[in-house]
Amino acid sequence: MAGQREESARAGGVREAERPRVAARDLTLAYGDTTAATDLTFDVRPGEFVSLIGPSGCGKSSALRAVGGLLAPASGELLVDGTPVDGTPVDGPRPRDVAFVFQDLALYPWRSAVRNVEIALQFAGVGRAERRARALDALRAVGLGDVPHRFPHQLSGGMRQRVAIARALVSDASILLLDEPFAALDELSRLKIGEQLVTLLEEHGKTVLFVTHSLSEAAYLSDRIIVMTPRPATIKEVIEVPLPRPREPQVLRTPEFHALTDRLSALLLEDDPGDVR
Amino acid sequence: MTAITGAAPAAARRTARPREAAAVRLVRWGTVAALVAVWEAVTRLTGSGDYLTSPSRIVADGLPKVLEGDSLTLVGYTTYRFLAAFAVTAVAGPAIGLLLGRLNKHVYLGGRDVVSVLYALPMAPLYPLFVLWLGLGDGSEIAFGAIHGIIPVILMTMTAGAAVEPAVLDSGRAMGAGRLRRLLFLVVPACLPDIIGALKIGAALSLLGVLLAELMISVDGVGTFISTQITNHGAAPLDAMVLVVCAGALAVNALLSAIERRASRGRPDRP
Repeated sequence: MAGQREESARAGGVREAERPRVAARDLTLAYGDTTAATDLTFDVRPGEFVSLIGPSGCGKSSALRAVGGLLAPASGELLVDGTPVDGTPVDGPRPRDVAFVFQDLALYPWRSAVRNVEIALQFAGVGRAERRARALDALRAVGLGDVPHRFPHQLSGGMRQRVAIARALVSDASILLLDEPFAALDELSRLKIGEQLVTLLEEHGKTVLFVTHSLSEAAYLSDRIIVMTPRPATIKEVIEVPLPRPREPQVLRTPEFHALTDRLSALLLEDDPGDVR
Repeated sequence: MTAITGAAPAAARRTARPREAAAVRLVRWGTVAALVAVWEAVTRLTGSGDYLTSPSRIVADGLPKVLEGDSLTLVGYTTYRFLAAFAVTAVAGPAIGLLLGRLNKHVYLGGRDVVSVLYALPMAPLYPLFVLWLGLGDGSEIAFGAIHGIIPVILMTMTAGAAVEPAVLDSGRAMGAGRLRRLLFLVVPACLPDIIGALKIGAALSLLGVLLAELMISVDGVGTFISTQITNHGAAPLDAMVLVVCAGALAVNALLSAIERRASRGRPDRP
């Protein structure tokens, strides 16, 4: 999938396709005196689905927040489409070609599903009629075309996840930052929704940076996996996922998949202090 | 376009429970009816006092005196002063509260301490100062009503503003919303039920402030009518005017409660 998208990108211009959508160089992230991550160097190429995995609190979400412009780098360089990100989002329409799905989804309880999706376009200055039409399209794309006027509390956990994804899709941002968006779902549901999401994102040509705790989710959905150490996080290893696209659920039972998850598990256990039972 | 599909959507939660609502109404109005009945019985058995008479006498003798031309004019003065004081409370209270609550942490913590102290101060001894500053009449009475109402509104609104989930604001930043847009589209709606709840208290206290001012130093208004009836031992018109004031306060409260319910749509954590 990623290969196909890269090929089409190359047809549009070699230099554009070669330039990473996200480039971090010796990036250090901190909250005051507390360093969350240090010396992070990684790229996300056009059309790639890249996962960040690592122990809890290691700085995965901080890295995502930095790419999203919500956390200023303490040092190093962070570029999105060649533009430095300094943690100060530009006010006004479409500051960058980036959309964010938060871990707790950050849906607004006072807004119906369609109005939650619309607000991304409202901030971008899109007119009322157009934003309603586009929001309904986005909800249909995530399978919620029949419940646009329900409030978040009237939706199941999985449906709320889809509203959050629709809100990220509606702005047409081509880079999606997903911070454990399926954390509240059971393992089977998250793999199923994740696979559907990948297909949808593939059709839309999205580039994805994805934070997860689930090794099988990372292995099943990703083109590459960045394994991080405990806080302050550094990059321990970057793994190319050897599984072919498109992926069917049967891939979960293949030796290659098990070998990959075993390797990921071993990498994480190497840094496990072993005092948590 | 491929669609993400999942389980069939669950039926929307039914919030209306007619039998439960009917039971609540029965208890509410039954309690009111029982209190009125006890009031009527006690005053009939013991005889009407100088300041408390039976509900039936209030309706028969007191209300006509309250609803006649001169008394109604006094009600009009007080209504005007209350509305003006409440307008100041309703506009300036949430604006100042959100400013203090959202500007930064130090402003919030320091501001909260100051406003809390102001809230604890008894205001009545300050009213003569208002008269000295603003003169006898509408100005001092409106200002006294406003100062009574605005302080709790500021306190409650700033607390609500400071408590807005960071994730809500982060999501707005991630969507490119600047500070003003985040305030208008995220902070205000997030705080709206709390703001309306604060305004219910602010309305009651604004009315209290206006009535206190009229009772202490004034030449017209409901407060003056009440103090005159106290002097003249006019129990029936006094009680009738108190009931009119209570009815007015309840009407304002009911209106704000209706707005609060609308503002709380989608918020199961709200009453």
